[in-house]
Amino acid sequence: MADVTIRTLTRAARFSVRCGEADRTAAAEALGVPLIGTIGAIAVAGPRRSLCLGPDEWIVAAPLEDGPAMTAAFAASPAVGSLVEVTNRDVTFAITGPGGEELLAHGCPRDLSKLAPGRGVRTVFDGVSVVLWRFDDRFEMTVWRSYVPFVEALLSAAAREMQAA
Amino acid sequence: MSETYEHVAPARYRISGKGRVNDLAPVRFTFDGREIVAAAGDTVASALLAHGIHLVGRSFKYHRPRGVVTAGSEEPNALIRVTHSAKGGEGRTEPNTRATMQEAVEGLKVESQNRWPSLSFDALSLNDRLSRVLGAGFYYKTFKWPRSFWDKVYEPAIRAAAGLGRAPTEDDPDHYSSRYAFCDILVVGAGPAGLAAAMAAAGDGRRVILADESGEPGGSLLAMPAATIDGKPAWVWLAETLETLAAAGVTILLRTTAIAYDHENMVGLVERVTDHLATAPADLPRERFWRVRAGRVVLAQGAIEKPLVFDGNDRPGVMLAGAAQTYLNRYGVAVGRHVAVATSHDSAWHTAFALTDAGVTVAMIADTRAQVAPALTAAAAERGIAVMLSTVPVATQGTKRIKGVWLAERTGDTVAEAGYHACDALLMSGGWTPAVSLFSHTKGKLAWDAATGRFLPDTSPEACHTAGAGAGVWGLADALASGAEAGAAAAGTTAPSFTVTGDDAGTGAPEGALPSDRPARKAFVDFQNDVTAKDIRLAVTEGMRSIEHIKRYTTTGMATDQGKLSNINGLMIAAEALGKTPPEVGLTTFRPPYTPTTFAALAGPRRGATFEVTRKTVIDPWAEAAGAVFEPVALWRRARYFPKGVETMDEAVARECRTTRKTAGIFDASTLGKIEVVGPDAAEFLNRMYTNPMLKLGVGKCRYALMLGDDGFIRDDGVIARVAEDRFHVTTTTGGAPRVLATMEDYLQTEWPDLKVWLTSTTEEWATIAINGPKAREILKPFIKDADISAEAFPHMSMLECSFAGVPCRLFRVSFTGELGFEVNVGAAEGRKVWELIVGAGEKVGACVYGTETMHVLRAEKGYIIVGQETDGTVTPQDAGLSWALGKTKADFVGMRALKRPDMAKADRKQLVGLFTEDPGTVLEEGAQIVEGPDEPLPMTMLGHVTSSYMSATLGRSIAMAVVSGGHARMGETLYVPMDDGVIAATVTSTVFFDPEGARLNG
Repeated sequence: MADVTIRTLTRAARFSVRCGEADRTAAAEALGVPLIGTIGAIAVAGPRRSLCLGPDEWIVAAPLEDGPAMTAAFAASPAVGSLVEVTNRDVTFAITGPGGEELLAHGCPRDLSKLAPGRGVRTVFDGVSVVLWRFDDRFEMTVWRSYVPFVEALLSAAAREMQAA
Repeated sequence: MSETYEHVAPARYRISGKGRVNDLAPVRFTFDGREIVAAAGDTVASALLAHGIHLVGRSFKYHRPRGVVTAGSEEPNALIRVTHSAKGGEGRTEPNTRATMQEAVEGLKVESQNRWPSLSFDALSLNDRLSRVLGAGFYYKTFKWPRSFWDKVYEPAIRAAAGLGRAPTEDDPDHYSSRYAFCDILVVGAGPAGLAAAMAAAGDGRRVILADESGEPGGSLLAMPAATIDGKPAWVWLAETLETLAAAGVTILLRTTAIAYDHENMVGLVERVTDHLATAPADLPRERFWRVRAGRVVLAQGAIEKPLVFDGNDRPGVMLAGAAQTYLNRYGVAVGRHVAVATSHDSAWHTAFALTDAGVTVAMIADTRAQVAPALTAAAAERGIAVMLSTVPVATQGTKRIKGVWLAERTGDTVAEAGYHACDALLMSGGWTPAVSLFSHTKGKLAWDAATGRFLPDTSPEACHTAGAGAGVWGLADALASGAEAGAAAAGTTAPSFTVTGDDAGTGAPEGALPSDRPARKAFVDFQNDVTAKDIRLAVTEGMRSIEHIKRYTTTGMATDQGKLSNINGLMIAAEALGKTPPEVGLTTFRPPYTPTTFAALAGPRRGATFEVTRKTVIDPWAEAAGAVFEPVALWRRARYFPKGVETMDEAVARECRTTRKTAGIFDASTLGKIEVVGPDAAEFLNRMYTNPMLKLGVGKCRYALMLGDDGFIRDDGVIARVAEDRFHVTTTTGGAPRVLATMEDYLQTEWPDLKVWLTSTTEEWATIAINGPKAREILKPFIKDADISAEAFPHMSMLECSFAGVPCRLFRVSFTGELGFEVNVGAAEGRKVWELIVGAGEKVGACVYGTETMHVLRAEKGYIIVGQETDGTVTPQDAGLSWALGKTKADFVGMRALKRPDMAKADRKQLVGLFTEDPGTVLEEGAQIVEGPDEPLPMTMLGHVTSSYMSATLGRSIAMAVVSGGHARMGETLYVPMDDGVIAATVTSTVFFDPEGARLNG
């Protein structure tokens, strides 16, 4: 059975970024990470990355210590939009190993084999709204903090089941 | 014939050298306390039959002795209670398990059901002799009068006598799992057609799942060792094919039943993961529910053999011929030593030949048809089997095991005198019914084939293909070809072809109830529900016309097997009685699940920590450690109160209330919904969404805000703080947060897309800790070094951004208790730390922590409403006494227009008032109805109901809020609350019970 490891990532600076097409470039410049206009696209710039979740919506993640500077830069930029910090709202699990897809299939109703590395999606895991990022070596699944005990219990039961099989 | 049952000997009916079981690997289980030695690969049914045990249970209604009829999941009779003893515990007990599906497992405890005191002597078999009066509709007719007897006498007695199996009383210690899966092609059934379909579909990276309900793939091939495919013996071909499929990446799921075919090719599969294992790793689920989304589905479910309908066709030892062939060839078991065959289909002839070739005596083959293929009669003659054409069985003899059968020659519907023939097993075949259940789940149309008396799959709205016997194709060669075609069509490939020898292709004639020389009282159609041909005819006589009515009146097809064996026979008999064709009478609808499914498999992981989504705040673990009692609020669990020692809830709440009013109380308010509203048009947007004026709310100020629906009724409320010109911190009720955000988004996207404003849920970003009470500032002050929080600098309804002991903080001065109040908002990751700091500081001055119950009481003392408690979707701001929250000069807000309707201003609307009970110690019941006078004749006029009611420690008496018709004009009036044990008088008062001037807020 395919191996899989679940790890809770340390807190990152995370922002919900909202702006119209006209302000996208300016917003990206302020945040130091491209904001790609295609839903599901991940952009990476050094340790910062963004994922487009909607026509005017991105989630941006960066090292925790970068947060205040990014907030200040956005405030100072000419971009008209909304930057809301969700650093504390979001808890992210990294799921590594070839069994990642199978593990997530325990709760995610999407065909994740069709989610290519470098893309992400807002979906559900057993009814809980999650944001999934796929990279070459892992999935990252973000859930809101209060759902963590529930989601963690489901994930670990699924992982144990996969190990026992 | 002697009763073999009483003396369980070694497996005397096992034929060495036959079958796929391994009798060198014995598996021991018990049946009603007797040890049974099975061979590895046996089912419980095959192992019992190997020991000559046919009697396995009693029937549902008449408690007739019943035996194994089939070798598959369609089994109606052999329902057993199994306990997985080796895995420990009564909790691993399941009633109504089909003995034909339960694999023999070391240590399994098997018990027969529906018998008392014992299987061989059953007291309730008296019903069998009463069957003349227990016919169709008996209960409807007999227990109708007197009406009052139904609930107390008839129903309990009937329920006690009827019913199948006993539910286990212990908790099920196993766990269950569910998962999604995706594939290009799902093939249901791994018989010849399914295997051929999978072969055709596999390759080129296509994802193929092949599911079969049996423990071993192969389907009918497992009972056809003599056939060859592509020059190889069937079983060799099977093994090679499975290897090929595995190599091509096909996922083969065994012990996996496709139970439901839902929209867009979503097929539910239940996999039995551990029931066939004596011991299993603890982390393996007992069952796994697969939700498979398939591009295309090939249904190759095969066909189910029909019983013949004649008197005594339910005796142990009477079984389907195809089942006997499976027991012989797959399990190496002879179902008898001296066997009779009665059939209307060629397939039973081949069973007879196989049995003879294995050394079993087949006394005769009686066929209802006048003519059969000469090759069959020749093959019978070769084996010395007597052939009786135009012959029907009319009765059987034997109680716990068949001893003989009366066979009679027929001419159309008349029969000659019957002759008795001894036998220890009677194999019957009324032909084969394609298994179309899953196809029917798709809303697929069925076509009636009159020549063969079968419903065949016609058209389906889903991307599904049918193949093999399930599509009405009979014979190995044709089944393989049809499977290959279906698989190729599903995958867009070319169908492989197969060369077959030893095929058992054949035909049959459809029969309804067979003619008889005697009144056939016990010619069973539905074995599981004990419905006879006579019952169906009676239903027609009594006026039932549609099969749906006949079904309900007789209960035919309504048992857990959903009439897999009985539906077509029942339909044929009904059609004949009505003088119509079967499609005119109609077929009942097949519904999921295909076979009985455990609740646990459907529930999956829904138990324990994963029973239901439970949201927890970061302070929740602290509360748990502090001994809090919790309550669910929306998806959250919240601390309700914090009992000290042996305090009851009332005592704890009284203490928490008193301490808060006297000193201070600390409360986890993190669940409050929070929405960050940002953008140049944020103020304009909120001004439109809420009733209150928002444009001029100053930065650093808060305002209570009311949200209406466009019908003018209260939907939500909260506090809005202006963080910056273009940024607002909006709070909502705990339960309303997602709904409010969705409503806002809806208006924003559909009504006002021109507004430059964006909404972000920040409920979870912030941990919110409320400190209320005269000493609130004293507790808070030491932690706030960079801001002045004095009464003058930081008045009620203010907000500022500051640092709480180094943690960035949005500090609110608001109150939901009427006391001096603050709400500390910090990043949730820091919430636990900040909570502990505040609680530590609070304890020093004598403050306490409190829960939602105290919060409810404190706010009620002040007349603050809770949306959803005081309001129910029909309460306007005026009704709730909140007219002051309506911006009088506003051009518009959601709901404004509706409020101008004359109805909304009617004086007799239900309006929110306070109630003081005459006896201050009486606490009204929330939801209780309110009337004007205690002596009003019934039905009294309901004026309204109690919405909130508590014992107030602060006031030393009970308080209540209520919505009452014309309530605002009733101040001082006495109203009445009729309860079961008397009428309670209460006086209408203001809703503000405590500190009406609000002086305490400004402390």
